[in-house]
Amino acid sequence: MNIAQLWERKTDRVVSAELLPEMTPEQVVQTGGRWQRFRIQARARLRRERAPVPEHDHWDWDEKSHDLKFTAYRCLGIRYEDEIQGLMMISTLAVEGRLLVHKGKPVLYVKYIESAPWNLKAYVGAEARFGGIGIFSDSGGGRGQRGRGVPRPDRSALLAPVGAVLRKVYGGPGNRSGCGGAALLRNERGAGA
Amino acid sequence: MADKKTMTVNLSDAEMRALEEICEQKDLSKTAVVRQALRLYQLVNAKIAGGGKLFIEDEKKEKAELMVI
Repeated sequence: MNIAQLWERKTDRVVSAELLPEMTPEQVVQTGGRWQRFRIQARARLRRERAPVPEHDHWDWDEKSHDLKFTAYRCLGIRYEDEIQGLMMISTLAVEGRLLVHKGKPVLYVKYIESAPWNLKAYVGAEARFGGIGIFSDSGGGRGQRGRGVPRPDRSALLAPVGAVLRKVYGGPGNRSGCGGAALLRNERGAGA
Repeated sequence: MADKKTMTVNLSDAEMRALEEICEQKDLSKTAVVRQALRLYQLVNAKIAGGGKLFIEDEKKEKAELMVI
């Protein structure tokens, strides 16, 4: 089982979740539906409180799952307690980094990344359960501990396995490239924390 | 990519040279290059079948449509 670490805000502890390296379109649609039901309730409450609705509120994973009919795309997920806590859609087409420091090295292109709505403060305020799922890393570099208390995962849980993902994406066994070395993550659209 | 299948591909000398050149240039294995080619071809093919067009822009910013069969 592939392990990803999540930070539970309330208890300030790190928990081990399961990283799903290749979700099926059906799993993505099911997850999107579950999130959507939660969102509808959260959105109604936000409107009653005259609070802003998150910018990505309209995201539709059912529609995004259509990309998975192409081998050029893959969706990863994180599961904890039978719930998908985050989704990340990547492109499996080889792309070279454009920044000088990554020149000539493979880059993993993140098309979409999102944390489950119950993990987002924008929907549930202080009740947001897990952090560290979506985007707070953009270079694959460690960030160490965030603040005091227990050591938190030093990268986004979905982005942490980027080296392994790159190796699979760019060829798996037999690939001569040291792919994990410079994993710049170009994030097109993201919603998560 | 859970289950993998193995197949034999017959290439001409020129095609094999082209494959090896790309492998060398991109620092990828032959399998990786073929996979990349397939992913790209599948995507481009579907976009064109859906009415899309593929253009290549040169250094002078001139665009030429790439016809894919």
